[in-house]
Amino acid sequence: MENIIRGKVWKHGKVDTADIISTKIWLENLNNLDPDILGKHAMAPIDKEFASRAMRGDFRIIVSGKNFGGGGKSFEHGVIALKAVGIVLVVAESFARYNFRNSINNGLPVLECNGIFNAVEAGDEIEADLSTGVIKNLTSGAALQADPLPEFVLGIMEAGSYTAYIREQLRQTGTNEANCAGETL
Amino acid sequence: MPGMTMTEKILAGASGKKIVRPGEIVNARVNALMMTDLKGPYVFKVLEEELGTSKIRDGLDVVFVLDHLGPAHDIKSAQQFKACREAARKYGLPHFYDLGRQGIGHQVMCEDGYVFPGTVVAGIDSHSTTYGALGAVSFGISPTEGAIILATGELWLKVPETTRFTVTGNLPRRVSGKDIFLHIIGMTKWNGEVLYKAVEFTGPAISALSVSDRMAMCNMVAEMGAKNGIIAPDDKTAEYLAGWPEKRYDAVLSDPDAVYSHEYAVDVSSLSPRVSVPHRIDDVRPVEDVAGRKIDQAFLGSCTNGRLEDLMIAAEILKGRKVHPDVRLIVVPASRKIYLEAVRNGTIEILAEAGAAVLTPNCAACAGIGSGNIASGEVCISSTNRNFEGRMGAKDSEIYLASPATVAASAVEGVIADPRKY
Ligand code: SF4
Repeated sequence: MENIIRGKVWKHGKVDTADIISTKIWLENLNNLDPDILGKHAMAPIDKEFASRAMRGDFRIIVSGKNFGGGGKSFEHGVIALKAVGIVLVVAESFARYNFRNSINNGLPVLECNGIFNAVEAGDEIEADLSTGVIKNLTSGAALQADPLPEFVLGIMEAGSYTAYIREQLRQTGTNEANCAGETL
Repeated sequence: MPGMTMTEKILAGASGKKIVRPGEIVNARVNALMMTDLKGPYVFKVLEEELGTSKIRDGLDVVFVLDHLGPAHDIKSAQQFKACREAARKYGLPHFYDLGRQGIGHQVMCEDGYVFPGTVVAGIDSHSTTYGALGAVSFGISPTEGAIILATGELWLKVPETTRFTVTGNLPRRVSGKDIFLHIIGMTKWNGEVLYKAVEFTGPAISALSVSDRMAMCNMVAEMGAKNGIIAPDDKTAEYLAGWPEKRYDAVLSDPDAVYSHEYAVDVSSLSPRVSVPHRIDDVRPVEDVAGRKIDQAFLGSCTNGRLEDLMIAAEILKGRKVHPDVRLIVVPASRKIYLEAVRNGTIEILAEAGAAVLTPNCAACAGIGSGNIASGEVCISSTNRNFEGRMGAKDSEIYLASPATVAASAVEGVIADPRKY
């Protein structure tokens, strides 16, 4: 996967899990994570046009404020829905924990970046380097620094999901030998 | 270069780094994994079908506990237990806790020597934050992440910022760690400055708390949306862990110049018992304000407050008294060890004598899927950690959260009562 992502921005200040996908849709599709179904309802509670515009290619990056995906629910439907309509990156001031983990685990890059909300307008084109965390607003010329994604997280993005990445690692090494340098206690 | 908080230091050690900073993502070694009857079989399914392996990483303590569903009360739970036992047998899990030998997973983790200061411990349950009371970094994860830990002994983690609560003052009689926590969440709210962060409790009032009360506090940081709760290990921690002399550990402490995202000072010297009222955990009132509210059930148990000390405080209040005739008091020791101790020291006898219904260790009514649920319109005062709508049964029932002392005093009076009278 390309570590540099470029695209137009859709922006919204406060996005909860129930905004990404409504509770109704999530409950109707409890055990059915079908991207085609979920994608149609992406962000519908706060932007009815979101899915059609994203699929048309109007934007592919989400910029948001604090606690993106908040609301304390662990379901993964929202991430699937965003990927389904072609969202390739979410940049926010901060993320809710479940949402941050679900995004990375399902192969959707997320960058946490102080000051992003005021530095970018809807429709701006930005360029983000996942491995350095440098984000450039190509429209305004502003540059910001986000927390970069380390090598193995980029590997997860490349593989498409955390499980796919681990499966491949296990297959390659042929053992379950850990590859981090942590000391055992 | 500023210092690091204990959470940062522990995550640095676990990922083989000298320094980590908040926001950084690390791949950390996990020392122990807790799973329960609810998700256990599914975790092994992910391991086999999605990760393509049936080998568990060496050196990882896998603790599998049957706790949420209690003794099987219908065919569905009986089937679930059967699936758990089959998985435990297939994998030859040495730390499988079946009925009669078990307890609530979080309690078992702490009292049976799976959690030590400086370690990283994960659990497939939100209240895995409990183990931070022993100076570990611990948190809840999804079943899929549990399967990844089984296979690799590792998990990616974002290093959280730390918010520090410095708690001072002598805690008044009959006021406990639970009351301190309820006071703090009433003050900061669920959506406060601790979302996805580490919450560090420190100060003389925390040092004065028992390990049991510290566990109640770290247990409930899950209700603040925090990643983990943590308390620096001290002599009390060492004494608590003395039963496992073979397990050597390093006490990891925060550097004096560590950087905190937020700091709060809390003085508890005039704190009164607190009650969290339906249906929000962060809607907290002094007991004086809600005293007199009629109750139907009092529940004493759970991973928050079902420990020996909790049962003993209740027994102190109930000794020579009776549970109010219009109320049923349900008591559930959090583990078999606690149950045995409480039988041996006479606590269970006092409670049963007073009219309490004592159950075998399990989650019971806490999550509304075991025994002791409440009916439509009923009110329960509970020592548990969540009072969401319908958590303990009927959707239009009400749950008030309080300390074991307040639960016991209320059981006596039939209404929410101030335990300081007893
Ligand atoms: S006692 Fe309650 S909160 Fe604790 S693990 Fe069981 S259901 Fe969850």
